[in-house]
Amino acid sequence: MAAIANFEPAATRLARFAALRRALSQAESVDAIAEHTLAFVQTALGVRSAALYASTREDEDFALIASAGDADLPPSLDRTSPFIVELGASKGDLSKTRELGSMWGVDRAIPAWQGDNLVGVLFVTGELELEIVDELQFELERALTVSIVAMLREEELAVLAIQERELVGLLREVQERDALMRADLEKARDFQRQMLGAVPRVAGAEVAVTFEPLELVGGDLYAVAALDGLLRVFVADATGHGVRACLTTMFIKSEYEIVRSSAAAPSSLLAQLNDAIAKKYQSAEMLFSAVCADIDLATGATRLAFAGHPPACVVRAGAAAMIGGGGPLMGLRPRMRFELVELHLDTDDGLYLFTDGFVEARATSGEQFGDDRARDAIEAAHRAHADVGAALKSASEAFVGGAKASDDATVVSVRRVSPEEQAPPSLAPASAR
Amino acid sequence: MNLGGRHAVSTLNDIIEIPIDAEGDIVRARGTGRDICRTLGFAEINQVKVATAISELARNIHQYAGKGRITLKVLGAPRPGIEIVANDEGPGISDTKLVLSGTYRSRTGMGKGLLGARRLMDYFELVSAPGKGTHVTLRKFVR
Ligand SMILES: Nc1ncnc2c1ncn2[C@@H]1O[C@H](COP(=O)(O)OP(=O)(O)O)[C@@H](O)[C@H]1O
Ligand SMILES: [Mg+2]
Repeated sequence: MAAIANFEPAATRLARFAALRRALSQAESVDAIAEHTLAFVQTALGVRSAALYASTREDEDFALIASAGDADLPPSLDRTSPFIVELGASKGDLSKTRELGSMWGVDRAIPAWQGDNLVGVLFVTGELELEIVDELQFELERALTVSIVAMLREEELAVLAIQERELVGLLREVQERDALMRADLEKARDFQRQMLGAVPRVAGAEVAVTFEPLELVGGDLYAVAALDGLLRVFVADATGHGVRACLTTMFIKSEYEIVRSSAAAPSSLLAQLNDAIAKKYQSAEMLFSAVCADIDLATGATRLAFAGHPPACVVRAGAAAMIGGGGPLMGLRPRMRFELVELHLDTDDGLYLFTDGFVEARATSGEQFGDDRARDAIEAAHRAHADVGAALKSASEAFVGGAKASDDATVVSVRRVSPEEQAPPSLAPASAR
Repeated sequence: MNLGGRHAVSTLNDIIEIPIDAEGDIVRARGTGRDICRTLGFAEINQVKVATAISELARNIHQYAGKGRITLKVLGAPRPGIEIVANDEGPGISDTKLVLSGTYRSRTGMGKGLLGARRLMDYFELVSAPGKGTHVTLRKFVR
């Protein structure tokens, strides 16, 4: 048949095998390409044996995709073998491929390129017409290129699919962790509230607390205790807010409990507390502001000390004034001195200690609620016998309008009353608090 | 920064084996792989690629073989990188060519895991047959 074929013009023969050629050009998978290539070379070129090697990835060796006839070829060709390298280098020089083919005991090696990349090699044995080989090479290259591009697209789609799955997994993880953290925070909040405790009932004063952490837990801390007719109030504000600041309050509280009953005056209490904390937690950045007040419930003699803290508000004979404030911050370094502020509280006078949350709240315009507005709000609420903490909170909130709170806020209110006028104690025993 | 460098040296010869027995092990394998990549100085995007490929292999072990293991190995000179080997003695894959062909659709998933993992990596090798288990080797180089 090969002998007859040689007398027929190549163009005519190609036309006769148009269907075979079309099948090759339309083949999609590498396997289909191989099948149609073999059919083409066997039928149109009358070769005895043929084998197609292809590599669908730039860095992969060439695998034997399909073979026909008696070619005895290895299952794969190393991409870096001298043969492949030389074949790749002989681009455009088909005469060289005969020489190379003989290395493998075949008549010719027909390379297929995608641009400058060798993507396939077709080995054939038999008499060949170069014109037809040209056509075949063209179809083979095109088909392989199309299949490689299609494969790349499939791979890209696969990557998108698994990356989406990865993302969904990560998201779920984050949500789970979030839920866990929230549960932990709620436990911490309960713990913080328990630690701060309820306000004791004392003869001679009405004490109330407003405690508003910005988040579930916060960096504000208060302690109120009556000891031998002396009411000792402590308010502190650890730098920052949230979990970290809350942790700081735990340390402050435990150190405070140690010095609370031994310190003779608010100023020495702050000094002792500062020494303990600055020495123990030197590297831990345990910074906080604090105010401490002692009120003699029998005489009304009152002494305060401040450590980097906002002033307190005192209401005497119905008139409010800001007093004290400032002083060195706690935890910075040991052996600091704290000034003592002394004043007298009559029956029906009030002393209000707070952290900076409400007072330093800012409206969206940037303007601060400030001392003056705070003093007016406290004065009005005090005169009306209203809840001063709640009043300060709502005045501050009304002032800032839509702006979000940006810090923890605490108010401890003390109003001196004569024991006879004081509301009778509730039925709940003191120990139940 | 110095710490990172020192750590990278100490993991140079490390081989970490992570058994895959339960669903949670998938997350663990991925996280460990990502940590190693970070230590090795992989670009962020490539850390994610490696982690994603590990997820797919680990998920396949969990889904199709029930149990197996993922081995992570630091590759040193001449080309630093990470090698991931997934081994199981499960049912194996009867037509590996098909699952990598891009035309495969599975009943259980999308049939894209292995193909996508191959695309994400610099080196990919799949050896599997019925009764022989499944063995996948991936490599990704730092650069
Ligand atoms: N470790 C394995 N053991 C047995 N069969 C596997 C394993 N990994 C993959 N397979 C088979 O190969 C197919 C393709 O896997 P994959 O590409 O990850 O896609 P998918 O998991 O979405 O089906 C799977 O459907 C499964 O039949
Ligand atoms: Mg899968």
